[in-house]
Amino acid sequence: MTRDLMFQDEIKQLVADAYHDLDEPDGPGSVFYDDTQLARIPPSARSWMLGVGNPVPHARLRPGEHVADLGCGAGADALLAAAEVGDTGHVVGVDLLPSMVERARWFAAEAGHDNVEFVTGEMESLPIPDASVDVVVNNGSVNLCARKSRVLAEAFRILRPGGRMAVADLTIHEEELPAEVVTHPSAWAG
Amino acid sequence: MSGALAERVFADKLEAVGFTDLVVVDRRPFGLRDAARYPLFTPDLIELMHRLLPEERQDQVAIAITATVVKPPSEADHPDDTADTAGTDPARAP
Ligand SMILES: C[S@@+](CC[C@H](N)C(=O)[O-])C[C@H]1O[C@@H](n2cnc3c(N)ncnc32)[C@H](O)[C@@H]1O
Repeated sequence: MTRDLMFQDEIKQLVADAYHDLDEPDGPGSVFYDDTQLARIPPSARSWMLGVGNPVPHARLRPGEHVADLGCGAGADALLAAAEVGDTGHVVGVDLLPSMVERARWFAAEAGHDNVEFVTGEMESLPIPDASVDVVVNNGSVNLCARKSRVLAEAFRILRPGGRMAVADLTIHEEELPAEVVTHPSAWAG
Repeated sequence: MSGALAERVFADKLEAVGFTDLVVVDRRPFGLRDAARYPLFTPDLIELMHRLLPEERQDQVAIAITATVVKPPSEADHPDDTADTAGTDPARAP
């Protein structure tokens, strides 16, 4: 295994451990959503909103569309998408962690959506066929991946031609953060 | 966050895999106070950033962007107007 691959595996493990070990957070990502949207998300799911934006409205979803939420966490955006695409549409949420996927399934049942499913998988190698979704949404997860081009290529692969992606993510200034910050173990997962 | 890219690099990567029509629809500063609300940023990392970052930088450690992109339609969805279809256009019929 090359040094780079080891580095990638280490990052994935570090991110997985950080998210796996989380105690119930207090929904830092919920501040980006309006009351109408929050009313569509069960209160227990709101506390697991860990995104850095609100991508779903920008996806301009239509009834009947097929949507994939990559790095879906506990599934808040997937639930919002499920409400918009309706019974004739379908949403699949993918997350690295089986514990997040379980949580998302629980919240979807609580919200009463049966047009949404959650699967464990990696954004770098999505368990979704080519050209099978109309829309990809993604909130706060690309920056956590060591192989970003691979993640973006996977999003491209699963979209049908003419499909679209709405992505919210952290970007940094051109000037670097201090080395002590960048190399701090929790700086990659946060 | 230390895995985050500069916006320009993120845009280049989106385009390199084939996406088009990139629009950045939202940009919000993400400061230390925002970071502290996320449990993934441990208190010692927040403290370290407070200590090391100049004050003017503390309200904007990163920028949260929201962007939309499109996978171009295939040529089959948009046949070339000048191809065979010309003969079937009623407006051009003799
Ligand atoms: C910042 S949280 C955001 C979760 C969700 N999108 C939201 O808005 O609440 C990032 C999520 O990405 C997942 N994740 C990180 N790396 C991943 C990868 N390589 N493949 C799939 N999911 C990943 C984590 O398990 C976590 O649930």
